[in-house]
Amino acid sequence: MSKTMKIMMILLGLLVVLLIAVPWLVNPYVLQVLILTVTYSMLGLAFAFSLRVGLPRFDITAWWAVGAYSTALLMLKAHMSFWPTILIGGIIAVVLGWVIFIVAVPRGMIAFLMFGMVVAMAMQQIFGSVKFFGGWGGTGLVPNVTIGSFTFANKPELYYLGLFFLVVNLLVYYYLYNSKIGRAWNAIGSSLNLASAVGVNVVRYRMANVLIGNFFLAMAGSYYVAYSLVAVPTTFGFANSIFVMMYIIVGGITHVLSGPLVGAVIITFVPEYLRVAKEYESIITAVITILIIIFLPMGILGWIDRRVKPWFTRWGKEERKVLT
Amino acid sequence: MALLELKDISKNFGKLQAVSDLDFDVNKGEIHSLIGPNGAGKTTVFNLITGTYPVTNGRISFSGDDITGLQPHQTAQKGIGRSFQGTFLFMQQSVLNNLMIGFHMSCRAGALKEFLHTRSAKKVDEECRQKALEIIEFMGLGTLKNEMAGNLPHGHQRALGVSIALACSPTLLMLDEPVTGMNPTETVEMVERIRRIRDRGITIILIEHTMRVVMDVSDRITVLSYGRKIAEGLPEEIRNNQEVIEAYLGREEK
Amino acid sequence: MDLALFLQLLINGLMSGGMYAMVASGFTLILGVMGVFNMSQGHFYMLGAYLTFAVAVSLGLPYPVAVLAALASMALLGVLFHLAIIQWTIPHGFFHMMLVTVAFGTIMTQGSLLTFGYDAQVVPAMFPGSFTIGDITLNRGKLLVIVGAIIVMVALYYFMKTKMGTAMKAAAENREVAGLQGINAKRVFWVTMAVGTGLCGIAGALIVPILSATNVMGTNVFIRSMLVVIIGGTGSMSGALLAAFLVGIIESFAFQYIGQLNLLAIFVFVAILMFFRPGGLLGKPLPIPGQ
Repeated sequence: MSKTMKIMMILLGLLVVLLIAVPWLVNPYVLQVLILTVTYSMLGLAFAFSLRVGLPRFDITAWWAVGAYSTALLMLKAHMSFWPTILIGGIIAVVLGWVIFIVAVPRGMIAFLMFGMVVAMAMQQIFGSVKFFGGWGGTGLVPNVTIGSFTFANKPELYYLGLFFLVVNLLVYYYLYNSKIGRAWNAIGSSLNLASAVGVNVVRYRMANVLIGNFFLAMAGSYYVAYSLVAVPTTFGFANSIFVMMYIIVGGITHVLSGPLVGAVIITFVPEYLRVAKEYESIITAVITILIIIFLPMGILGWIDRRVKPWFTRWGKEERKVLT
Repeated sequence: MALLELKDISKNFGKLQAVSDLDFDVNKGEIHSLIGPNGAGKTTVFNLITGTYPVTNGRISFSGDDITGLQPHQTAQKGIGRSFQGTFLFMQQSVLNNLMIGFHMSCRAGALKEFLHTRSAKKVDEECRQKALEIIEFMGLGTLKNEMAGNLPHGHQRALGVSIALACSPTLLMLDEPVTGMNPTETVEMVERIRRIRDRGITIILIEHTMRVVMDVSDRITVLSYGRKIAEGLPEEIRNNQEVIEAYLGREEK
Repeated sequence: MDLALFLQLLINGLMSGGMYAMVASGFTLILGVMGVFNMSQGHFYMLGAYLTFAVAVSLGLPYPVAVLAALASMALLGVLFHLAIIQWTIPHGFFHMMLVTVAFGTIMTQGSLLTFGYDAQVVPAMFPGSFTIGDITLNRGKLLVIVGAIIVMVALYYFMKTKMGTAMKAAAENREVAGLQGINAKRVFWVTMAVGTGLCGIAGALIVPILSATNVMGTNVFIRSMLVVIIGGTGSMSGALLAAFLVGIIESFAFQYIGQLNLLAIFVFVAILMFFRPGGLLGKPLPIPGQ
């Protein structure tokens, strides 16, 4: 194993230890913020996932909502255990997504984008307006998630549950990115015309990509309900989709796995530590984002790639598997 | 019967008539050049053949099959490969990886097997890697196989573009300005390779501006101007064709 | 349904439609010419409304002055936004350009909240009251809005025929070729921004006597404008016009029967339309290369 790999492994190990130790290191409020960060990271990962094939998606909150509501309603009304609801919510998200994307994906990026926006807003409207979903007040309180006799009730437990989902998400994405399918996706994202010219059925690969993303978005929704114990339409507004995009750009658009995570952490925590009044928080975040877009267009990680990594290896010159 | 037949092809973009009433045949095993001043519609014709643009009118058939209206990935699967005028490469990938993507169609073990990374999938992958290396050697890029495509000098990028088109094991290879921007040595090498590609049984359509090359390597030449065919025939005939000369000179004067 | 109600709903629909037409046209221009997906388009509309309030009510100047002020300030803001921020993101591609408009939009909304507060701000109408024809009552203010919108759209139409307008159209068709024809890209860009955002400014100024300035008006209009752009076809300004009035009218009539769910009615309409006419009512999808 090369020297750089060894360094990476050590750093990764330290990170894992750090992540596990978190509940002992931080106060409950920060832990709560972290839980939300974990959730938003999953949304970010899904966004980066479809961005890979050249489709920025605005419908993130829609499928997140589908997963959340599926879990909430199935647990409340059908008295199901949490775990099967993840699967059901995911399937619903995929099937529904298939119906909608059949029209949107072939029309290209701009159409897909606009469609996504419409879907996100429509979904929120539907969940809010239709009585069956509980209306604008949301669903009732959902029982805590249990596994055997163990209940995920406290923050640290929910945090670990979140990490579990995040890790599953990361593993599956990593695997897919480095597979043949991932290579075709990469080709589509780099150069659509060229990918077509070598026989890649762009529409089909894009469809597969967004539908897989849907499944994991729904999963993130299920987790969210595990934490919040309720699904309320106001959570799933279009504005949240926008935050997700900021994570990607701040983290680094080329780092499909670590970019959203780094971005989520920075965007969530930096305004906290800058100690500004609540009203100015979003302005500060926006300004930071604009500065990063202009001066560090490849994000924080991209900057590290250019400035820091060359000190270690010739990393930049070799092509490599999707590591981060 | 010709390998590729375009009958009565027209293409307009709104009010702009890009191609009008074009009849164009390419015979198996020939090197056929498509020339004309800038804006004559040559790349548009390529795009119509591959299906990147839908035709407004007319029919295109390839090996007897009607391919009008097929999508680009479908015409690629039928055996039509093309290189692009702008440099369309996978810039962030190595030369070898660019080729491997090019083998996307031919090197499939079946989606499930690929997903599970079975041994047979790996074997297919290895075979394709060998074929990719072969093509890379053939095109003179052997030493550069791990270089990032974006870092290559222009001439090599062009060669890579042609290589990717070859990876699809095409029966018909369409090259869009393969030697434009190359120095004389590179040009000579590329021309030589084009000949050898033809010798392997692949039919070639060439868009090119470098007249020396066109006259030298072509079996037949078709000349377009403002979207219409104004001449067609052997190099010597075209060289002396009055209309052709005017079309080029007229443009230059403007 | 009796005639009076029908006309009321129609007028409401045309009024909204006029707004959507202006905002959507501005959006289409910016997208087509510059390739920028301006997520802050709705917020320029909102600020136009608030500014009209500030000039007409807080400063007490006449309404027409306020309208011009809104137009000028939104156009200027758009240009500054472009010069200071957008133009530096152009080399980085579509996503970066779009995101910067998102961020700027956040600044606009938050800034507006801090300046004008959470309450809706009312601006008195210039020609208050209604007049009657037979037994039909027509609100003067609403008619003024419709007339205003038509004037603006006609002005836009003639503007697009001017040298600058054709340059913009050429740039929208093919940025490279336009450059070859000696068109000054930089100038075209900031003029496009000025027009694109200026349209929102006027729209906001026109509607504010009827609807008041609120914080959510930007997002609301933006959603509908997106639908208008989708229906009208991304490249087509005449399509956007037709679609805008269609959306406005459907929305108005649907509201009468299903209230808040009227937005859903439009969504459904869009979905069905997309299925049968993917290029939109009149337009062809914008030829963004390689997408």
